[in-house]
Amino acid sequence: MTDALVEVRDLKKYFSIGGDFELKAVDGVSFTIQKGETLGLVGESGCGKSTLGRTIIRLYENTGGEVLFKGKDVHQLRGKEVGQFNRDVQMIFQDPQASLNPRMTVEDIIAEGLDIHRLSKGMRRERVAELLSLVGLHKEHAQRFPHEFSGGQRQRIGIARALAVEPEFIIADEPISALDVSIQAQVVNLLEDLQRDRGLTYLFIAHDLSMVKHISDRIGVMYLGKMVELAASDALYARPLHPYTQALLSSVPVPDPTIKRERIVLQGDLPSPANKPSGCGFRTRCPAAMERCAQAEPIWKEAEAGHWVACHLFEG
Amino acid sequence: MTKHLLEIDDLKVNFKTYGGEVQAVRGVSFHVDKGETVAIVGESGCGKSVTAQAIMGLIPNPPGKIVGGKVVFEGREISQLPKSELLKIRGSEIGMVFQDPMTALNPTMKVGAQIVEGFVRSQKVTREEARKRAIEMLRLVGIPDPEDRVDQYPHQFSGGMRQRVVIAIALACQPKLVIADEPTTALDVTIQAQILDLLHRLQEEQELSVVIITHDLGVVAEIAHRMVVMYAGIVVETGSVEDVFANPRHPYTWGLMRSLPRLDEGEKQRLVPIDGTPPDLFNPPKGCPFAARCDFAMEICDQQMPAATDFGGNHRAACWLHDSRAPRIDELVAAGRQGV
Repeated sequence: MTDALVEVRDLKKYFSIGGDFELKAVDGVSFTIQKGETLGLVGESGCGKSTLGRTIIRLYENTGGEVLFKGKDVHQLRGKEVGQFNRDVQMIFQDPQASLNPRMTVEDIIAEGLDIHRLSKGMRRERVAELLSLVGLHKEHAQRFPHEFSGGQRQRIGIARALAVEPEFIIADEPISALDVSIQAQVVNLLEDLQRDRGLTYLFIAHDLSMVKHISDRIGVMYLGKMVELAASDALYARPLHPYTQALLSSVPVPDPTIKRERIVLQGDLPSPANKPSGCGFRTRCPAAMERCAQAEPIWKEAEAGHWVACHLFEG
Repeated sequence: MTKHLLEIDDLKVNFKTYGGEVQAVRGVSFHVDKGETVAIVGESGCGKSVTAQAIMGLIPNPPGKIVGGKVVFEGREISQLPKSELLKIRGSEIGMVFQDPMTALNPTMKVGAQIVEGFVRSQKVTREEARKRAIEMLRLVGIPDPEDRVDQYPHQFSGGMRQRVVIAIALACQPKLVIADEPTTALDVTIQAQILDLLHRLQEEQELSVVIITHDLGVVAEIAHRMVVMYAGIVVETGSVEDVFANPRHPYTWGLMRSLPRLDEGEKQRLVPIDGTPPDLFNPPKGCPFAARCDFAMEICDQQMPAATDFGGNHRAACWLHDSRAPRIDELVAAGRQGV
């Protein structure tokens, strides 16, 4: 475990929603990310996966717990350490339309990080050209504006911007969800190539389970602010333990009309994270719910080697 | 010709913009039979939503205009009907389910009133009867406690529940055809599974015909009988879902299928994307629109639009590779082209 690049321990992020009410968006999540691996994070909207990503990268202050990056608590960094952290950790956003300033040229967008961290050393234009070719664009594109590009090209610009400061760890928050299928594959291949060539570590947040399985070494499944299962991606898909993971996997439509499967269709909707059920958050929709599930929260434990789950079914 | 419930014949739709005239739909033909689900698949900008809007007479004019072709519903040409006539068909004969249930519903109106709005307009009913009908519709689409829910507003419903309300609205007048434009795209997978099951059940119970527009081949495989693959405003391939998935005939369809990762893939394989981007429809290429991204493109592809080849069982694809003069596909693959 010594080469854990990121270590998240019992991380909590609560939002105040007026009066004494708190929305527990992330409620006690723990996991580690090894150097050079891709950890996928899946879950439905409102499960807290984006908040988790944003808290790790310090876009949000934490409410409790800690995030260690190379052994240092990121929410306690001060002075120069903050600058270094901001270089080491970068983010790629979902909507390449909304995350690029429409009034800046591509060159200025990509070089913004270089300017802030004083990294260009008089080679600004050359660096931008290099980054553009790295993500499969041309140096002629540098003087254009974001609206002149297609969605897939814009996402490449967002990736070039993240790479400009030579990060070690990239948080990609639904980087391909806004793209068409034929373009998604282009961007995913690019991310994989960059990881291989530069030893990058990814936290890949998405709701498209088949793409997450494709890109991730390990996958964490979140439900209502909690991690419910975490395992190597093959193990998770071959033997999902948590009833929620099982339902989630069986809900994914398979592009093959000859396969007729029994789907586990969950009843009802996700409860509001501001008003969670007692005990296990999933018990209101769980086909296997027992009496105990309403009384106590399940414990996060290692059910099989490297396969973690939080469910009373596995507490024996 | 008259036996199909809906028949689209060589439909062409243009939009005037400041940059010129966009040819969004450039000669689309397909049909829908009674009790059948037909999926229109394609990427953004391929014209699938515009086709759906044209069927419903919802193309905003200006800037849009149906510049050619016919939409025949129950043997009657409806694309040129005056608005008053169209209103009688829209809603009562053809229902529509929109993508985003939040923007499709009126936030200031109770859901019950929204469900029966069209029903009240087309049939003279009392307030009591209308309310009863609304409750019945909510029950049909699986909303618990319909007696209480009928007096609530859309914001009191979750995303999946709102989409059920939108479906209830579409079905309130017992239409023969429902057009669903990306009905599950805005929903989470577990909710998507619920809505797909609902659409499937309603379709069988009510003998509905459904046109579903989607970019998700998984959804197509689960719910549709036939599929229409669109690219750059034209139909490149059409056929039964079984035929097209088992034996895709157009290089674009091959590309779509290859670029998908699969949950059941064993060894991790590299994805095969379709390089490049779709053509600009201000000035569409005169030949096959996919030629610029196609591994198999030949000289003829840039010059002339291919005609559709029929493979039997209504399975057709428009590609020069199937012309008798073209080289055999297996020879091209053997010579190093990216295959099926």
